[in-house]
Amino acid sequence: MRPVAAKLTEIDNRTSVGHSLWLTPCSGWEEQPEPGQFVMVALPHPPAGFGREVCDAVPMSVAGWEPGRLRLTIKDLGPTSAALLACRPGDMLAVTGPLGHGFSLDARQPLLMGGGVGAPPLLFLAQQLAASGIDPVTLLGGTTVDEIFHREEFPGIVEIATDDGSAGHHGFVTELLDGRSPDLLYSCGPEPMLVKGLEWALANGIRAELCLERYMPCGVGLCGVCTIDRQLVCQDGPVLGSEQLEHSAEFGKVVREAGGVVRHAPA
Amino acid sequence: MADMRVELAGLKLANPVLLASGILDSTPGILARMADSGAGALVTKSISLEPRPGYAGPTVAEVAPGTWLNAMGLPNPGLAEFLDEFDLQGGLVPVIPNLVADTPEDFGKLAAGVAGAGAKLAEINLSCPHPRAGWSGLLTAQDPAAAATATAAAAAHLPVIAKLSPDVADIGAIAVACAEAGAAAVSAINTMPALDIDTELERPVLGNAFGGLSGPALLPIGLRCVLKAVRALRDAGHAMPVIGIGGISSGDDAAKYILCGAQAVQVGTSLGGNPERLGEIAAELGGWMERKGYATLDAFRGNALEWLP
Repeated sequence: MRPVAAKLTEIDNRTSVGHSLWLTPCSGWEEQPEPGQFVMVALPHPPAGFGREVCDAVPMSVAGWEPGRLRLTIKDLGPTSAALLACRPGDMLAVTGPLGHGFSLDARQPLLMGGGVGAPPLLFLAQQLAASGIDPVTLLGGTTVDEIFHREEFPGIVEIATDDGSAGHHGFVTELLDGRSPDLLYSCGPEPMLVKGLEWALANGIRAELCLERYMPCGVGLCGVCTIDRQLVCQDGPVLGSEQLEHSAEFGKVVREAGGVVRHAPA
Repeated sequence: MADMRVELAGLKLANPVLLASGILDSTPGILARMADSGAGALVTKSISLEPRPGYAGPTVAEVAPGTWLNAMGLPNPGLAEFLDEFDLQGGLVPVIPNLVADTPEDFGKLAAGVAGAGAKLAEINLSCPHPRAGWSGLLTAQDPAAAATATAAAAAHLPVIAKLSPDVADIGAIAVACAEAGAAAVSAINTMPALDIDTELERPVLGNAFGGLSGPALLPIGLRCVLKAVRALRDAGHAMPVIGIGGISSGDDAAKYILCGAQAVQVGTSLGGNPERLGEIAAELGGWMERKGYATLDAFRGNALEWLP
């Protein structure tokens, strides 16, 4: 596995917020990745107006795929993502992947719950489920309506929650869980939301698959910085099952920053 | 069953297959998993006095099947947080902190810190393959006098293993210098300084440009270095052990190093994507010993040395 040059071939603005890029790598990407898998993306050269410090590799979930090309949805979260948003068709990136283990496609009556920038991998999952004849129900949450990614693109039923009430339910997306009885909960988004999702799933005897995010220096299971308990998020995850997280001492509590410095989540 | 126990600088290890520094050793959680996998001992990532964030990515690239180029940039949280998080005295499997510094004084401070926290043995990284300005790794690796000074500074506080580079003219001279400076052992080799270029992007593949090469391609290089170090130490009258590192992906590979005289071995890159492979390699070495009829490691250690030219 190594970084492969990829051309930005299309900026896809079907999503009402953020920015979606279609990348065509110089080789590979003929086989479909698993929804939930990710890539390490790096800018080989800084776009105009940016310094070399934006040329770092960052993990990003695959938001969509067609033979020979992949889709990434970018939110402006830091200098590297800001630089990615400044890229134009024809620009080149370096892409390593697909990496890690994605979502299973085992559900018959799936419930998807996405928060903020957790929606893109769930869009790819929903599209794969729909393609196999399964109707997903999707709950999407965000702080405000402009933080709901891809809402128009999800197949099946979509319900919205916003913290400020600007669209859908006024409150957290997790408040839309009660009363539902899926056979599997798929979720991606902020960790406090995932923690609540896991608690709800365990309390209701429902299996959950959660797509996690951690600081990842290598992405390929070599360095070990992204561990949660004994599991490598880049290798065993990023999608981990409820059985792998149920007894975790670190899920929802501990994340690491550059250098492996521990940062404890606020209680 | 073959008896694979080995003594290393006063530590009694259940087997001679150790986790190498820099691979799957960044958190207590993953170290516990590597211990349960069957490691004889666990060498941590390189720890510096102050935190280092690491280099910008890409940090790793597979340049040939199983062979990797990496430049992580020695990311670590610094000595204080490391000591806060990692238990250096407990556990069934010994933890050997790996230390990196740019001056002998800092090696001394690091060694005093880990010794105070209960470490019985430390490894000093004299050979980072991709240092930046002000980082002394590759320079120390080249110079027997500098290696000796760094070794002596750390060895004043606890037994130390000096980790050496393959990218030197005479690794034997450096091993002898470390022995005379009070090292408890040397380990060889660190990754090989190297570079790869992306022809589409027309730039180095790694964020740091230069990196260290590891994986199966390193095995013959490591074997040569270990054999040269073992011979030089023997000729100089030092009984100091050598730890073989580089390209080990099977029990057979581990046996090669021990046949060259290595006391123990360390495994790294071949565990990428397969952490449990460490214990399998130890088991394979045991299987090889049984098939050959060896009851102990001493029974075959150094058997290849008599063929030295």
